[in-house]
Amino acid sequence: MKKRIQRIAVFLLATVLLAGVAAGCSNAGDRRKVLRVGMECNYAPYNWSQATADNGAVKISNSNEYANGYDVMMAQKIADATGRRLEIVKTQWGGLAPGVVSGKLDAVIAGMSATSDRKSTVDFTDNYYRATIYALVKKGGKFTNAKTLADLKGAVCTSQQDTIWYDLLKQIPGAQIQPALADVSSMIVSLQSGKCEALLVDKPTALAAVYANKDLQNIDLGGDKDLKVPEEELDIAVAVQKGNTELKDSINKALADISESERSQMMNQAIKDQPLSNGKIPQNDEGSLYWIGKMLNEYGILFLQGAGVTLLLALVGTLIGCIIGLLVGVLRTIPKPKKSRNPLLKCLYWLLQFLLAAYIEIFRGTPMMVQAMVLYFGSMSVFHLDMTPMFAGFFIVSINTGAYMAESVRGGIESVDAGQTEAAQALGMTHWQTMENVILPQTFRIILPQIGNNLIINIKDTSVLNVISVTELYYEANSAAGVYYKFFEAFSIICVIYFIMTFVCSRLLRLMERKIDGSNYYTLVDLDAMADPTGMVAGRSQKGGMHKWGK
Amino acid sequence: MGEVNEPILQVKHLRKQFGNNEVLMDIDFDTYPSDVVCIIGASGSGKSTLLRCINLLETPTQGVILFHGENILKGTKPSEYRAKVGMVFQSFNLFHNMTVLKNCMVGMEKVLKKDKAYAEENALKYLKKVGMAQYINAKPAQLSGGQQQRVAIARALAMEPEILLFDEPTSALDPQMVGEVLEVMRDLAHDGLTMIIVTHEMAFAHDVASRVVFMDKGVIAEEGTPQEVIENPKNERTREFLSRFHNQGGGNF
Repeated sequence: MKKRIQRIAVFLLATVLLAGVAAGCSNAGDRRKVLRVGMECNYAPYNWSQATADNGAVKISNSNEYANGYDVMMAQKIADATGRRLEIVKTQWGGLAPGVVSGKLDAVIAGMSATSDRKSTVDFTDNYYRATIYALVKKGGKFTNAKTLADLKGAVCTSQQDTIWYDLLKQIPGAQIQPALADVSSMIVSLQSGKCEALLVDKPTALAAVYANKDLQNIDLGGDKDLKVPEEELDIAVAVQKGNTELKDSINKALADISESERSQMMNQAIKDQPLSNGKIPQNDEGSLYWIGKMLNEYGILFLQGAGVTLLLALVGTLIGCIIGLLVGVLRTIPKPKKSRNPLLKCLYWLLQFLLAAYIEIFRGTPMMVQAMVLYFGSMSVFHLDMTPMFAGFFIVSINTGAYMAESVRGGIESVDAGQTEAAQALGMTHWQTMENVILPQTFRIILPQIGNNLIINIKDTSVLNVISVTELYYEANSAAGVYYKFFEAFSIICVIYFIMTFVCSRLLRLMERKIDGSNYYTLVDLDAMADPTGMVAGRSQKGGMHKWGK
Repeated sequence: MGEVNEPILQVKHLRKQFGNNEVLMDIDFDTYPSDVVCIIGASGSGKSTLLRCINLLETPTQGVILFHGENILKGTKPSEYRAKVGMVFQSFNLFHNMTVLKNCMVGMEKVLKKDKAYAEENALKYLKKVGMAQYINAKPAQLSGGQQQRVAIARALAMEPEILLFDEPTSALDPQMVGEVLEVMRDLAHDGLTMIIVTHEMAFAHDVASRVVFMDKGVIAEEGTPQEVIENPKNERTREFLSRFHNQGGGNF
C-alpha cells in the first residue's frame, strides 16, 4: 500500500512539474514582440478555424487548428505593420472582452462592433470594416419576399448573444424574439431547422451564409429607414485594453494605410475562402452519415487530441483533487483540542476548521465554469499572473474535485467504526499512525466509488473549460461543427467518444475495487509446516485446504 | 501470586464525570504481578469506564493512576504506556483492512518498531497459543465472533504487555463460542499473565480470579477472594446482584 502511494505521489509530482514547465515555456517567449489577438474562430467570414494552413491561415495558439478569415488577414497586416509576431487565441465570444480587460489578450479582432456599452470597458480603434445590417430568412419560406423590416412582421427571430443585432430584433414589428444564441453557426442551424424564421446579422455574415447555404436568402436592411441603428454601432473595430493608447495609436496608424477598396477585396476573398464555399462540398442533400464520415476524416485527429486533453485533465484533476480531499478530509477530522490545552492552539484549530469549511462550501457552491473564468481572467488582471489555459484547467478541476472529495473522505473516515480507532490507540498508535494504517486504507475503499464518480463527472464537465480556451474535446467538436454548420453530427461523434471514455473508466474502477477487496476465500495453513517458519511462508497456499466463504 | 512485591498498577481516588453524571466516585485499587482481577457488577455500575480510564481511552476527572509508581496522567506520552497495557474489547475491534497475521503484527512494527521477521514470528507464536495460527490469511470479516476475539487476544499478547485488560470479552458472543474464548483466558491466567477482566461470567471469575471486585453505582462495594465475594458476599448489594445470576441459572459454582 505504502509503495503504491509513493508511486502515485511520484507520478503526481512529475505531472505537476510538467504542467508547470509547460506553463512556464509558453510564457518564456518575449511578450513585447507578440500580438495576442482574440477571436472566436467560429464566425465566418470574419474568422473561422480550419484543419490546414491553406489560403494563408495562421496557427491557433495551444491548438493544432488554423484560423483564417477577414479578421485574421487584418490581424496579420496590423502585426506586420507594428512589427509584432501574431498569435491567434481562440476564445468564446463571451470571453473576448474579459480577455482584453484582464490583459490576457492584447487585442480583440473579432468582427466586434464598437458599441457605446462596450466602450465603457474597452477602448476601440478606428473601424476596420463597416457592416450594415442584413436579415437572413429561408429561401421559399414565409418571408422569402420580404424587403423591409415591416415585411418581417411577427417573425420568430433570434440573433447572437451580446450583439447589437440582438438588440435590434425588437424593432421588427410584433417580433417573437427567442433567447439569444452563442454563435452564428448555431443561429444558422436554428434557421435551417425551422426553429426560427429570421435572423438579424451584419452584411458580411449574411453574404457568407448565403454563399455557403443555398437554402438561405438575405435581405439588405441597410437602406431601411425604419431600422434605427446608431452610426457607431456599425463600425467594426479592434478592441484594446482601456488606456493602452500606445497600442491603439499604432493599430490606427496601420489601419490608415489599408484603403477602402483593399478592405472590400479582402472581405470578398474571405467570403470565397470560407470552408463551406468550397464547391466540392454538397449542400444539405447529403445524410448525417456522410457528414460524420467527412468530419472524422478531416477532424478525426483533432477529436482524438481533444479527447486526450479531456482525459488528461480529468485524470490529473481527479488525482490531485483526491489528494487535496484526503488532506482536507483528514484535517477536518482532527479531534478538538482538550479543555486544558492552551488557548492559542484552540484559536488555530477553529481558524483552520473555518478555512477548510469555507473552501469546501465556496468551491462546491459555485459553477466550475464561473470559477474558471474568475481564476483565468482574474489572476491576470489582479495579480498579473499569466496562466496558460491548460494550467488554469488543471488547477480548477483539481481544486473543485478536492472540495467534493473532502466531504467524501470525512464521511469515509467517520464511517469506519470507532472501535478500530480505540483498538489502535490501545496498541499505542498515535493519531497519525492510526489514520495511516487503519482508517485511511478503509476510507480509501469506502470512497473508491466516489472517486469513480468524480472522474466520470470530470471527464464530462471539463467541457465547460472551453470558455478559457482549453482545447478539450467539446472545444474541438464546436470548431468542427462551426465550420460545416453541422452540430448534430459533430456532437453525436463526441457523445460516443465521451461515453467510451466514461464507460472504460468506470469498468476499470470496478476492477480496482474487486482487486482491493481480495478473494472471498482464504487458505488454511498447515499447522505442521508451522514448525519451520520459513517453510510455513512458502507453503501457505499449496498445503492449505481451500475454504469458501460466501460474501 | 506467591511472593508479595510492588504493585504494577495503582488506582487512587479516581473520579470520572460525564457532565453532571458521576460515573466513578473515589475508586482505589492495586494490581500486583500475576493478579487476575475480575470486576463484576450490574450494567452502569462503572466497570467499563474504570477499565477505559486505566487505558486512557477516557480521561479521569480526578485522581491518579500509577504505573510502576509513575503517574501516567501526567508527563509521559500515553502511547508508550498503552503499548505496555493491552486491551481486549467486547466487540473485538480487529482491523478490517488487514489479515489475521497483519492484525497481530502491526502494533509491533509501528509502535514497538520491531522488524518484520520478528513481528511475524511473534505474531505466529501468540496466534498458535490462541489456536488461530491456521487462519493467518483470513480477513476478520471471514471469521466467527469467537475466532475474532481469539485473534484480538493474540494481537494484544503479541505486544507482550505487562497487564492485559478485558472489557466484557464474551458478551458479544454466541453461547457456544464463549467457551473457546474463556479457555484461552484460563490458559493465560495459568501462565501468570496479569489481567484485569470486566465480566459477567461468574463461574469463570470464581475459578480463575485471584481477586474479585464488585462495583455498584460508581464505587467498589466489596472486594476479596472469589470465595469471599462470590460464595459469601457480605454486602447486601452484592448478594442481590449475585442472586439474579442464581435465579437465571447463569452461575454454576
